[in-house]
Amino acid sequence: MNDDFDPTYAGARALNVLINREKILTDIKREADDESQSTRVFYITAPGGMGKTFLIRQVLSRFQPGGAWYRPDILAAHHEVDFYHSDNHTVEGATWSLYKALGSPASEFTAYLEQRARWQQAKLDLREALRDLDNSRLHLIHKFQSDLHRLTVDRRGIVIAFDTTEKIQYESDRVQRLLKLEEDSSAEGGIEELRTWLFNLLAQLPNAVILVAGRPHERLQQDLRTKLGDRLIEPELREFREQDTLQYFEEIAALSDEIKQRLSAIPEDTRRVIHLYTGGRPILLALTIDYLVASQQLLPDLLVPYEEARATAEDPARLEQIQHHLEVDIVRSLQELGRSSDDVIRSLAWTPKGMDAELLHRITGMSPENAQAGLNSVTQMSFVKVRRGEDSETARVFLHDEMYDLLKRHVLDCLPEAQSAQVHQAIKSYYSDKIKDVRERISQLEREGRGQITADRQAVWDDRFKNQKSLEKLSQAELALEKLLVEDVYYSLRHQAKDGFNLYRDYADMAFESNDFTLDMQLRDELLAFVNTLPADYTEHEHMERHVVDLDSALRWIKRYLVTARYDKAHALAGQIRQKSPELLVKPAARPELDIWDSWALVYSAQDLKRAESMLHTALNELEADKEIKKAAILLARGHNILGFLMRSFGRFHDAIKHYVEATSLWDDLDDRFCAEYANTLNNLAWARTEVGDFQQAILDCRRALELRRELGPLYPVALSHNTMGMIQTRAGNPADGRIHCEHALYIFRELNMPRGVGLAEIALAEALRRSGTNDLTLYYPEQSISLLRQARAFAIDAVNIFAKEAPEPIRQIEALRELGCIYRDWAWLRNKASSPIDNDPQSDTYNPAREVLAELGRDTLNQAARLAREKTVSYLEIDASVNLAWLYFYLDQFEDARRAIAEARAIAPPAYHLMPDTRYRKPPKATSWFWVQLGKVTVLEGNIAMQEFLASRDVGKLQQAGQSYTLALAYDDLFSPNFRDRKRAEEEIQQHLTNLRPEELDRLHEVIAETAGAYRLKPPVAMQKVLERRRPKRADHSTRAAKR
Amino acid sequence: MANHHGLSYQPESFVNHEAELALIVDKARHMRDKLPSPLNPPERQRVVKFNAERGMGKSWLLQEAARWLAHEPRIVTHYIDLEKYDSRDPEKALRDQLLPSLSARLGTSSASHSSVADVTNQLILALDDLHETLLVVLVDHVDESEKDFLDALDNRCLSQLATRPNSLLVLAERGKGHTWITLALRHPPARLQRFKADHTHEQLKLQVPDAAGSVDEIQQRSNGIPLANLLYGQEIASSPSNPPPDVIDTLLGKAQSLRRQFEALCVLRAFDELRMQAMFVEYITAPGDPAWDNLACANARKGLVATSLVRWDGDQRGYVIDEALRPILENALRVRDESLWRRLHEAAYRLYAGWADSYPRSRAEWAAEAAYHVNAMKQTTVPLSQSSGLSAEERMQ
Repeated sequence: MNDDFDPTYAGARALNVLINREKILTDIKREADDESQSTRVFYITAPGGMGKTFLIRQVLSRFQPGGAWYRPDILAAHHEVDFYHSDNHTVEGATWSLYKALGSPASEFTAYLEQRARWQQAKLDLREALRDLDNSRLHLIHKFQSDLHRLTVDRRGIVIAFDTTEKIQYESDRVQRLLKLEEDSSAEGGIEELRTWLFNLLAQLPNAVILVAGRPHERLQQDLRTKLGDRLIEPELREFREQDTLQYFEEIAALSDEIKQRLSAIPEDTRRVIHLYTGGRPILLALTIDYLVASQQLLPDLLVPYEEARATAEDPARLEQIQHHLEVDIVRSLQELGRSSDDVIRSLAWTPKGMDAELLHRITGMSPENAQAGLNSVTQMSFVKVRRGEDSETARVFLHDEMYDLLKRHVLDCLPEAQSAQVHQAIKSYYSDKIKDVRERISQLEREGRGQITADRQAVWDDRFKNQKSLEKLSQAELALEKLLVEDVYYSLRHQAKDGFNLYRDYADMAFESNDFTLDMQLRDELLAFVNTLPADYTEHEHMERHVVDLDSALRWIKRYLVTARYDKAHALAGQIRQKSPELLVKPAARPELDIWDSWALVYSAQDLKRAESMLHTALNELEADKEIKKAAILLARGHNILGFLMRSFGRFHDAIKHYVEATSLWDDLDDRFCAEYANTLNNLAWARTEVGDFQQAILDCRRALELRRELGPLYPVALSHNTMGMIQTRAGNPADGRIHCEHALYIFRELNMPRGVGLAEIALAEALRRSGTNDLTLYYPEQSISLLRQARAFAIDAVNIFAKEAPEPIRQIEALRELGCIYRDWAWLRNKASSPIDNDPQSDTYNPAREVLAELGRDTLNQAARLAREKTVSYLEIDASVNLAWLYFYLDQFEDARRAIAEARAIAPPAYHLMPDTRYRKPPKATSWFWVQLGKVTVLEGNIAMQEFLASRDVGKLQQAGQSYTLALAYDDLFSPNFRDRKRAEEEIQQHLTNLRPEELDRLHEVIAETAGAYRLKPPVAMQKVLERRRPKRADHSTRAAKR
Repeated sequence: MANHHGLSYQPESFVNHEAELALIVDKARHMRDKLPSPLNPPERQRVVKFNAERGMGKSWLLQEAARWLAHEPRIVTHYIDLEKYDSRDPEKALRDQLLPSLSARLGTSSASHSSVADVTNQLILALDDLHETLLVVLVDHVDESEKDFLDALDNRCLSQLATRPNSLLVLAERGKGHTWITLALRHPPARLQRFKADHTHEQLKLQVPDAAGSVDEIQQRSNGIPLANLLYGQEIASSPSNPPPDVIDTLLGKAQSLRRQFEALCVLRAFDELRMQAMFVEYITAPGDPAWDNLACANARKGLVATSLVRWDGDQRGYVIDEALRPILENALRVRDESLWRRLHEAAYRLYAGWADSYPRSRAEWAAEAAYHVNAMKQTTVPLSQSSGLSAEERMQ
């Protein structure tokens, strides 16, 4: 922005001289020179217009090369970090600003910059990976702290400055009370807010002089005193003394001959009167001098003799009156003088978030060129501030706070609302267009930043490095978008509070949907800044109801805890709201919404699941009953999705499917914003369908989820869907297809550097490889199958290690151990079929130990899985490991061990899940269907053992045992689902054994099935009967014989 | 001395303004006699400023004051009509004309080759030599001179006179006035008051006796502005073959190029760009004209403010036309084209009624404005149309 200063504003030209600040300058210099390595924080408070910003800028400039206080061993910020600007209201925003303020010393902040690049990439790719995203952000903050710390230790010291600290927001009293837990524990894993970060920085940074400037703020002051103790210095920034005002006149006069001539006509007596009336406040003094220079008529009170003015000034009411008249006259002069910049200055008053040429053009109708020239003409005025952006597009012009207040009081508030409505319309359209433009730019850059997933995966990795520039541009565009959204809310709130609040909610919801914590916190501060301007006891402002605002603020904290995986805090806060502020829950949707979020917390932390279920059902019923509730569809969709997840956790897959289907149909009706949640639910639904063996539909749902996620872009969810698809394909009997999907997933997770994702993909890939090698022994030679198992083993071991150490997660660790155990088991089974030589080096590419070694490894691993599952009370995994152990013994022909393992596995399932003789079976309510699956598996195994023994001995008793077990096994499977993978596998296996039986043995088996069905009161048709009939149709006398027996 | 548009000053025809005359004469006497003045202490203010729009009688007042003071002992008066000086060359005008004529009043003279500074010094020396005698300088038509000329006059002469205890400056200006460098010259001015009906009657009897019988009509149309009184009187008394100058053009003077804008806005008590737009669209816009958008209205507003006949009034929530002039404009418009006048009120009514509906916080205020225009329309002799925005009931009233 150029300096085309309008000479008619000579009196208002900004000075470059500090007046009456010797004491504070001396103190700051002394502390900077102090060798003790202690840090001092200067908390400089004064009302607006006292020159705080000017002071800290002057201090910083003195420390720069060429400045009076420059020392090469002291690093001083080039400029302050100003909390006036919303982008500094998040820790990541403030750290970035501080880094830039320090002159962007890249070599000193290598760790920070590397992490920042990772964080930017993570924001791009890790949507829905909430914990990883948050961790990446926290790493960023920690890296900054450590780099900054090292930098200060390596030098004599640093000097940094923060301005407009009164804008750092506190929650409303009520919400603050509810959040007390957070306040108390912010150091122990709470969400690091700007305030907490700043206090920690001030308290912990060594060897620094830190200037903290702002208008007086009692609470902030109290907090700083408590946190910093004697490290805090609170200098008095006093008004100008009379001699300072006189000096100010001289300094202004020295700026030009024209102004010198005009000011020379102002006698000292009048200058002293002006000092009295302006209270020695520099900004008012500058405006008054400009008024003195430019206005045709002067306020008579200014022209009275000094003694009279002094007597007047002793009466505060009279002084206030004169100051008011002076303000009115200054504004009148501005309104009537007709100077070319007057319209620009007046227009600036409409936009406290800053003005650029485009916005000025829209508000005034000036041509863009004239608007730019107009802005250039005011930049050097004492009451104008310029904030240069990352690029010329983002440079903005601001008025001094005092000037905003002055013009608002005396001009804007006087104009008809229709005028302000028109201006707000122009502002709104500016923001709408800008937001649209930036979003399009982001969309384009995101495509560039991601590159393509191609068959040649190495090339993708290269592309990502090439796209670092796009990523940096993307980061800038995202910052710009955040700023625009926050400013849009700022203006909307002030134009129509209720509309503004609704816009805030939309944007904050959007931030939540896209896991954008940075935007969320900026929006939150903007809302608080507005609410904190309202009277403390307000109950409603322009139809914006306080209890709605407070509830929203509290609920957003729950959401923040949820997206950062702090489930305990989320649940605790929900309890606080119910207990301490029930008055917040009066609106129809309030309680259901609270219950849904609370249930989320419980479900994802696996606590009190019954209560979560109950809350969810109640909430959904209430929402169903009142469709008028705004956002009911969103809440219902979310509620059904959580309930689906909960049902899946219970092993109630059919219920899970029902809720997921409900949720997907609701998401489908909503707009594109919810596309990610829609895809998430589809993915969940696909997996639930897989669990019940509905592979065809599962593949369709998962494919749709994958397509949607690819369209949306972030790679993490894409990888999740690939992994899900891989698992579905494996379970559906297509492990070769499954393997490809899992490899896609694994590649992406590795690229994203996400250990958890890598672990998940490795478990799935290991299973796909294992089943590829063992499902169809005619497909590969045994040596090839063993090679596949060897690869699977490597993945499974890696996954075990990841979930044990790198990303601890017991359930996943058990799953990885279970898979590893199955790999050893299958390998042991195949071992002697292959001619491969023995190789006992576990690290070797040809590792291939003896069968016994493999069996022992399998047994130990599965026992370890079962033990861990027992410790963690995850009974469905415990029974799973035990069942697999029983199969291991079976493969090794250790039938007694197998029977023992079967008995142990059976004992894990509660009695209500067992089929009992002479009892018609009734399903327990809300049953965990997974138990039937496992009971089915062990009972088939039991049948297999008996069948093996029969084939060896032709002992009819063994045949009877086998027939009974097969009949019950399929009955267990049918309790779960008549059509799922393990059921089909069981049928195939039984069919296989039936091929070895003679006709009369098959007839006998018909009788056994009928007897078993009768004894256990199985409902016809009996599944085993149908299986057997495919081999040998039933004759009429079978049932008669069975009946006779 | 010929007045621009009205009569030249005629002492026998001077009416009213006794208070303003007294202000000047009393101050002069007090200063001359070095007496304390409770209202305007001479030690603080040796300047009297009058501000009034065209036709209010500033020039007559200054000349009448000069006449009165001429009879006062130990008072030397000098009337300066700035219109007489070529303000394009300030130094020359001051050195060769203005300052010498003032010096001559003090009985001194300067050599023809003297510089302006020399002339000023001699003048001040002469003034200082007068001791017990007061110099009263009456400066007229300030607004007719260029800024550079006024700055030079201020620097070379007035700034020094303003500090002399035996000098009284009386200035007459219009509108916002000049931004004098000397602070003493920037006191808020005294406003000249409009004539009441009896003054108008007296004026007409002296200046246009044939129209004196129409005093009520003239007073209503002129709003008590003396020049308008004269012109409307002449209009009534004149023959069709010799019509008097147009009153509105005369009052607007150089601003007459903006007459249509003034007329479009004259029914409003205050305006801003939005209201300008509504009124301009109703009056000024012809097919094919550029639209009165925000920028066009802002520029028009600047032009209007620059005439000094429009000022900002925060209490009125907008810009206002000079309170003496606006009724004359409205009356003249109504007489000339009542239908247009009515349409403007209708447009204003629709605007304000819409605002009253749209903005609950200020509903009462805009409803009052709407009512004001309804009341104005009730005075019309032209039937109100349905497009007026008024209800049938309101139209019937």
